[in-house]
Amino acid sequence: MTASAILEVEGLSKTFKVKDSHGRSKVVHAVNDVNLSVGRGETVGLVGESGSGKSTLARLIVRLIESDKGVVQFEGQNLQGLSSKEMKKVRSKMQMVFQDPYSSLNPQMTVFDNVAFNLWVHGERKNTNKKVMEVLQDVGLSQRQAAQYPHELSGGQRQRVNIARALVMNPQLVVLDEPVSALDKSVQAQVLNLLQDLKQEYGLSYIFISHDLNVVEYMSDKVAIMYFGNLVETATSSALYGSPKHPYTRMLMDSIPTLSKRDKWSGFQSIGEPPDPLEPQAGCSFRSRCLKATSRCEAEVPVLKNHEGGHRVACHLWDNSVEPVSTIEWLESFANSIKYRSLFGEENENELE
Amino acid sequence: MPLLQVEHLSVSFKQGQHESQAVNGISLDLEPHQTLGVIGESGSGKSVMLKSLMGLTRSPKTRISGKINFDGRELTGLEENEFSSVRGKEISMVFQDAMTALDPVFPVGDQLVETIRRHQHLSKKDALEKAVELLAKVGIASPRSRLDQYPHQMSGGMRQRVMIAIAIACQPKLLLADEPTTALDVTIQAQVLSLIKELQKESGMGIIFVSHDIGAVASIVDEIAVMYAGRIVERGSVQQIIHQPSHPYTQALLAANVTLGMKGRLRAIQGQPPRPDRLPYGCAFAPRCQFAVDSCNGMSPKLTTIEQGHDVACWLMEEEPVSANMQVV
Repeated sequence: MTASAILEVEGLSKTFKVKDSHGRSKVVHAVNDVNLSVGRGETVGLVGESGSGKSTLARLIVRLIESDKGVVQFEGQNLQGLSSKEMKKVRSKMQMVFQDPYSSLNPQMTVFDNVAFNLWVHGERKNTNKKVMEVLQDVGLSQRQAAQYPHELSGGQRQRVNIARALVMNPQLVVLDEPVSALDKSVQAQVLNLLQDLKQEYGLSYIFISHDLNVVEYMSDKVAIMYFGNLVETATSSALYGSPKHPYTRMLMDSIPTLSKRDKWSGFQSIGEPPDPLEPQAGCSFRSRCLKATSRCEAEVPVLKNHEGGHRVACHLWDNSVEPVSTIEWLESFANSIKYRSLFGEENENELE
Repeated sequence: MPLLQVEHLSVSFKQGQHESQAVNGISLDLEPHQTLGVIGESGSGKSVMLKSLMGLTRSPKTRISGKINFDGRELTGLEENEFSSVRGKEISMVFQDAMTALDPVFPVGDQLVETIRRHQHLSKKDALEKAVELLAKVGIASPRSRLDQYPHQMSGGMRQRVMIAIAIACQPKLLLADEPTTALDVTIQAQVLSLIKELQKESGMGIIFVSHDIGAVASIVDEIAVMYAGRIVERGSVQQIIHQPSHPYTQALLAANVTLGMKGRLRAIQGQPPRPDRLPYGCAFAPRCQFAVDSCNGMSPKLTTIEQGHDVACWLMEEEPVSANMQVV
């Protein structure tokens, strides 16, 4: 554990028992042997598609759900063995902000009460008035708005209330689970600016979960990419966006729509969807969508390995120093020779390397 | 002659004492093969405009004025039973949330067959064959086995494909897409965008693509219309809007959009869009506009052409060009 880390996650795993559509019991590996550390004052971005286990990981970290395996250390303290009373104490220092700004607030309480409630729960009765008004001011809400109910506020204002509710406890770490996904782009910018300001002012560390790659790059010092419950790549933000290594990360980058990609992705359809979590495949979970998968990828699960400068990748290709191509390059190289739709059809299978 | 010609379309809803002006005198043209993107914040009237083109806002409490000329027919005066022969057949729509747009209690095959048989004289068996064909066309693997599945048994991307399959079932001339990729993951979004483009190439349908995701819009449309408070405030080719945004609102909207490599403070747009039942006099954006002058509060500006194919509704354009010192994406 590095001296400056505020949170250290080691080997964290969680499985859920579910029933499939035929009523058979299945096990979903939502989070699989995840290692992650968050430095003091650092923002760690967590990226992945829906179902990749990002939110489960967040909930495991603050122990809203119990893990099957692994250790979470917060400020050097192992959270796993703590009683609920002790955990409550710790939790005042690690707060969470959720995606839906409306359903996460109590609609029958005023803005003031919503924020103050957090203090009351933790047994703080003194100075609540002052504390709440200060924090509301910090997030840019007026005295008048403090007396209003959540339904009277806009989405952006509601999210400010959620942020205020987290900050009133004076936390060290805030886990932000898709905090701006439900907001308009113009409001998104306001809230992101606010989060950056508050980080300085309150000396916070963030875990910033989002599926929006642009926003994660903007917010984060370090980024972790999740696929199917596994971390497949972690690096500093500039390294990861500057030279993405894992084929999945490259696919994500190539999928960001921009003006310059207008005519380049007419074959994107062949890339496929994530596999069914109820029917996990052996080996690398990404191999069904990977353009360079080999027989080794079918047999062996890749583990995160260090590359230069703390850039960690879980991919066999990098062991053999085969550099995976980017999705767009690959599509372009085949653009004239093969019809995209039949790429995964049997008749053309042999033409693919 | 354009496929779609909308002139001064206004839509307002009566709500007790108030009247909400959701769409306020919109005019636009669309040719076959053409894709028009519409961007703007929530509440700018994008969705109401689309729904009005589809005849989905008709009700005793709605006042619709203006003209919608579609393929040589005037749609505004049509009776409901006449409109229903256009809706779903010649004009169809793809919604944002496929889970709520599809019927959860019927298998997707039934929903496809229903649409096909509503507009085409096909036997049940032939319609089923057609449904299989459509599912294959939108890139769903083993389509025949999917027919009996319910929407909840499919992934988000697949549901969106089913909705697109239903929308294109009768070879519409006009496809209205209301945030069709907003609820999807980025890799699936890329697939759906590419699918829509490919289908258009094949059939030559015109598309109106509404989204607040500027990247998604820029990646597939030919022209962009920027909406604010029920009006089109700027319109032009993708290149014109993205590289030379001229309305202060368009500039602010683009500057607030987080893109890769962005550093420093974001330029958020202060304030909120006006409520549709309390539109300000003059330019609706003036209260939030950093360049606003007195004349902005007088009358609302009309769309004026500033260069070939590029129209802007801003008083500043008429007097002197806005100092274009804002950082543009």
